[in-house]
Amino acid sequence: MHPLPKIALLLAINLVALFNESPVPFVLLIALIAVAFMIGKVPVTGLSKFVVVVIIASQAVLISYLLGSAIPGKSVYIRYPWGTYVSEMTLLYAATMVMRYTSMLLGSTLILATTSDRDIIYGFATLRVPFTIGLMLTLAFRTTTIFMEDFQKVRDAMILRGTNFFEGSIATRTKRYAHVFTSLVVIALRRVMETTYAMEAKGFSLAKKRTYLHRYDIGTGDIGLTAFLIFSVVAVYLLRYHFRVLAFPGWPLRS
Amino acid sequence: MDYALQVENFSWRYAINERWSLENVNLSVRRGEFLAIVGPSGAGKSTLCLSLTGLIPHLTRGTIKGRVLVEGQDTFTTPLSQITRKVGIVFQDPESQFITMSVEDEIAFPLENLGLPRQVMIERINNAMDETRISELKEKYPHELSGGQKQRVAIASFLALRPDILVLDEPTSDLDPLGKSEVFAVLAGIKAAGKTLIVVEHNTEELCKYADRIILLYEGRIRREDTPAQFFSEVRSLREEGVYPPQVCEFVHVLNSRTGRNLTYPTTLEEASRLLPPIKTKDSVRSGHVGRSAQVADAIVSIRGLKFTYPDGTRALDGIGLDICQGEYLAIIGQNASGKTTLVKHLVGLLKPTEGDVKVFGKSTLKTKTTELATRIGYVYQNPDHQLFCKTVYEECAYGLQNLGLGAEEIRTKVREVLARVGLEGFDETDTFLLGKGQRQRLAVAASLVMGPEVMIVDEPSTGQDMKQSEGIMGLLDSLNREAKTIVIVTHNMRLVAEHAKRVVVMMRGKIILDDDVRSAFSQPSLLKEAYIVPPQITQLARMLDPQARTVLTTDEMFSTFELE
Repeated sequence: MHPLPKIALLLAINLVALFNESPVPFVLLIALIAVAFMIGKVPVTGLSKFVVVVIIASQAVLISYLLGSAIPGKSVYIRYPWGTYVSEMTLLYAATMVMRYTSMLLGSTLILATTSDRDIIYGFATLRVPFTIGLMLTLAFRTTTIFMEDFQKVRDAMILRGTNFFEGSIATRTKRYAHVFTSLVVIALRRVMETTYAMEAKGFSLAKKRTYLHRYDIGTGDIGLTAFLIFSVVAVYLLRYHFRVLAFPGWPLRS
Repeated sequence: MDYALQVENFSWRYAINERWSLENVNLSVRRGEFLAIVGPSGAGKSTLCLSLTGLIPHLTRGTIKGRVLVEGQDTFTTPLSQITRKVGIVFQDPESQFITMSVEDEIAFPLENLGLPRQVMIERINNAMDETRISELKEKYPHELSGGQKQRVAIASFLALRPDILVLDEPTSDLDPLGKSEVFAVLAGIKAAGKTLIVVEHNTEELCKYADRIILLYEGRIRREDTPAQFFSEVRSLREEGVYPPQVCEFVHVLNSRTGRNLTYPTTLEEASRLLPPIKTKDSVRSGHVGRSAQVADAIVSIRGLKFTYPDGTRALDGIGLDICQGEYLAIIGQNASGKTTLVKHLVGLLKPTEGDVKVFGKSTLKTKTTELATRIGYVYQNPDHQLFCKTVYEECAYGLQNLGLGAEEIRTKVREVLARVGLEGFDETDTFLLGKGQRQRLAVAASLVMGPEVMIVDEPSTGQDMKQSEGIMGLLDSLNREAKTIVIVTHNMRLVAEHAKRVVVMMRGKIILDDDVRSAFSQPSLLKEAYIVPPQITQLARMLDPQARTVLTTDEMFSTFELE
């Protein structure tokens, strides 16, 4: 698949999940993402850390709605002294929100697992985004990896000199991390200098007209899929806000 | 004479410096010549490389005198875009000069900048990949390549531009033995194709195989200039100037000075076997060697069945068993990604075993805090920049002691002592990042040493350093070892291993394939070859002269083992 519909799919999943508030379509959306995982042959073993994130996020959402919301329903199970309560609609809404964040996380995971940073760069080139922006993205992807490695090394070096990053006040910890960044800035400056030299030595210039090795041809299937995704997002938006089909049952609330 | 490059009365001073980095340099490079540049750190070698490629003065602020002509065109008045068509430059760090996301894109990048038609690009990319033997890597990401492969990609990206001149600034400093040999093999091919090559290198033994001429840059001036054989005949002076001559030259120098002969200086092993007069092994040393004797002391580090797998699934260590005793001097060698650094990180608790057990001073690292281990084991990184994070030299050394909760007076005393020990006394208030690389490396050692560790682990003590800097660090480690401290070095420099370490652990693909004393280890070249490790030149020369002689580790040992017939 061309990177363009992949980027469109990422945006579509997140926008649909954001617009929709009805529980049943969320079940369908998650089922569709699961099918896409199977089609994309995403290795399940690599998803364990995302499952952990989903569980943590779900717990946070549940706790916040169970303790801090007042959604009217037919039955009220618990009333808190601070004025909020738990009804059957609270439970349904909390479950819906859990499904919203789950579908967003899973959708993003799907795209990350099937799209390389190279795909994104090529995708931008297809869209005729100026070369300098593509180059900046490329350099950002390249330097992020290197930066993370440097960060880990400096942090380890500080741990070996007795620094404890997990104890102390926020101010103390911030000061410790400031030390890490002192080193990182110096290392980064040295690297930037060498990268600049390398680029200039390879004849890079913003002013000159350049040619391209890759042809970023986009097929009709890719265009069709992208158009379908855009249509889906618009349709969900209209169903939710105009026809109120995808609104949460009972909205607007009447207490 | 047809010159590719001419440097005429050239001087350069960076805008931020008061001192001239290059002073009155005169140099002419013939078309098709392989010119090697050697010299101590800070001599101006990299500045000269930048000047030869026009990056100075076009990209750097400073003051210029004289001129540099690239194929007759003055770099000062010619646009950089024109100069880069004639001369390419490969830097030391393979990481920071890789700009794009794939090998093919990287080679295409300069061609796209030139605005060449797509078909021409494809042809040139394929040719450049063939010349540098990286065709099979076409689709690879930068992080999927080894250091040697990245340097070959860097060379290919310039070859695709088809410049007549290629300048390489310490291209093999960061590479393992296999990477170095890959790069030099490519350079040999480029030389054979008639291109002009200018190479800055500390590895003089490898340079001598290819160089037509060598210059010594010292304090911004060209101090010597000659053919390799003549150049390295000045062994004593070169060592004083911070350059390691090839060991075969050092041996002949010792022979000449101790026997009063005037033997011709060879520069390579092949030349040595041809030029040296008949030499025989002294009877007194014609004995075999013994293997590593069993350690009688208790192990302070005990590793059993250690396996380690990174989160991405890479199995880095696969069943390591190792004991290290108090007072040992151990060298861990092997290719990049063989597991050396992963292993030593387990000793300081930065990594915990996936399987197996690592005991340090009798305690499992799984049950010991890294900060607790750090007071007994010091770890010095390859790149000191990763380890220095305070503003001044004093603060850097005091940092660890403050974390230990020591009083101000005690800290002051300890810092003064350690700075004197590493030769940085008087630098207390100096800004850490204004120190030279050798000084930063010594400061990194001091910052670990001040915590009073019983074990010092030093990762690549000689990378990117000149002879004097390397010997400074190694001398310090030797003196610590004489005080019964345990030393562990991780290195690709076999000369350092032979001259300083007592025991060698050879790693390959996460396993230990050899664990022996240094002499025994270097007497097993076929086993070392499996791990792409080549013994020091002097060891190879001795073996070439008499395979039955004892394994020689140093030039002095060579002299005491052999005599002229």
